[in-house]
Amino acid sequence: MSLEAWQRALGSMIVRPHRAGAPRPERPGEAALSEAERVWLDEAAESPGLLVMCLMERRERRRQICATAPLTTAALRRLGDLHRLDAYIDAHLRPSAFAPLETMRFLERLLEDGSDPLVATMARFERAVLDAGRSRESAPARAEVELPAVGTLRLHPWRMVVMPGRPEDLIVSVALAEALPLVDRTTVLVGPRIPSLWRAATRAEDVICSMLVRPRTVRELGDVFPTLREVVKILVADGVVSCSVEHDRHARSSRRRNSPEP
Amino acid sequence: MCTSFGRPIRGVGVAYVPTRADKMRVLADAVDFFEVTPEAFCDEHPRGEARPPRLSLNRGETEFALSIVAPRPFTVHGTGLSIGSPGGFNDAYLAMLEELADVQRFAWHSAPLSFSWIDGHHLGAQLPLPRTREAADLVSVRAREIKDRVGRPFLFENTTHFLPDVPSEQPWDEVTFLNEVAIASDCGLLIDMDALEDACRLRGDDPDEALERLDLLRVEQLHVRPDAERTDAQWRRLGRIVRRAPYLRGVVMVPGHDDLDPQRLPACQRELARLRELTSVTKQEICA
Repeated sequence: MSLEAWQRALGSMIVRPHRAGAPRPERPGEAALSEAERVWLDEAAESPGLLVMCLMERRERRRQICATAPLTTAALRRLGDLHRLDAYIDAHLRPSAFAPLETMRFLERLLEDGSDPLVATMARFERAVLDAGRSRESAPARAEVELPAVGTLRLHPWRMVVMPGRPEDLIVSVALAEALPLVDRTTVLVGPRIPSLWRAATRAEDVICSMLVRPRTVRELGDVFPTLREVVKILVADGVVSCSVEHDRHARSSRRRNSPEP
Repeated sequence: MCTSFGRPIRGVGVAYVPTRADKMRVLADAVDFFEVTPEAFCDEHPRGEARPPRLSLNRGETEFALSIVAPRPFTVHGTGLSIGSPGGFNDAYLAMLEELADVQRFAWHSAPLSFSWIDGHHLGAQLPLPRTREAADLVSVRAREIKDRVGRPFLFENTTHFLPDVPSEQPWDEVTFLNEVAIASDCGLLIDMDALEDACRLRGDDPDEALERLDLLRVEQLHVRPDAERTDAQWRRLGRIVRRAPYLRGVVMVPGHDDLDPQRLPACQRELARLRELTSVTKQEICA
């Protein structure tokens, strides 16, 4: 027996089950199998047990994604588009036994493929919250934040989400499938150091974050908003914006370039 | 303390359910030890399509879980090792286990005799290995390496699956293959009683006869699901294996989230009490 070929063939039957009426999919490594092994795999493919295992696996993936991205999946359900979740599961192998990694990939796929504005907003929001939750462990302590004038401020691309209404109202309405309270556009900030991982932005934060869609130095931003230094500090402390000093790195690489060869 | 093989006899344990931490505190008084599945409180870091993600213990969740379980001894049961995977077991899981061993000493660890990862993709199930010499040798060598790296005893668990009986070389069936692998790797066995009974039922075999052929010198732990309707025959079977496996160190109840609903919790407590009675009688017999 080719153990490896047999395992690959069996694994493929679980993740890509043979659907009734469809041509039998090719199994990886099948050429290395004996006739008896092929017969066993054919029998297994037709067995109720394999069908049960495939259904359980599929149901578990669906349950995990719905539980980890409840707002996005509720928004899809509201539009009658939950089949997009099934299509994702059909098309993609499982990257992990646990939910967050696969849910992130599902949300990214929804955003890449284009979605209804409400679905896209919820997907951006839940992707940002999941990402911030994963970053919580490695985020620097929310102690005193330094803002050197040469520091470059960057808004994390996922951490500002614009919602078409007050976030609390919108979230409740989506979750409960109620009418959407679309009033004022609200900017939501998501960061690993925000206690609940997200909050509505103040007007000043909204303006600063909009400015930071491209990186700017602290000095550059200070020239425009000389009184908002404390606001920037809070954004950095919350992990919404990063501040890094690149001067040293450039200087080091410049020194390396100019130093003589050993 | 009464010991066998130089290892403590632990009695009855319960598997830690992270989503029911409050109920774990309640059950702590009913058990002698906990069993944890550490993947449940890990962060995952993708390493490309072809490899399982790297695992790192989430500090907050680990500390929280240990605050509940670590006042008592605890063991580890991992579902992410995939000891039989083509191309190698899941090294990310083992690295995480080594990290956990540095944080807190655990008594032993166990994993299913199966494979669940292929080329960086999780199969969503613990799939059985064919019962061949090649498979037995493969997992035995790997188990020895795993035991050396983690520095704790390692137990193989029988798997739950619904597939037709896997291809076998003579004279192996599920039970004798478990015996073979345990002896060849010098590891113990964790017998999931419900999985064993389910497998026997599917094949039309007699579970008592299957247990007769099990190498009881290797059986160190049992898993049972909560079952308020466990039959007398099942309790007798449990009692028989508990009495006759001289190096058995623990019987662990493995509840699901729903089993710990407030209305179902008392049934779990009653079952744990009965299991504790079962093992304490045996402990006295062995010590005598």
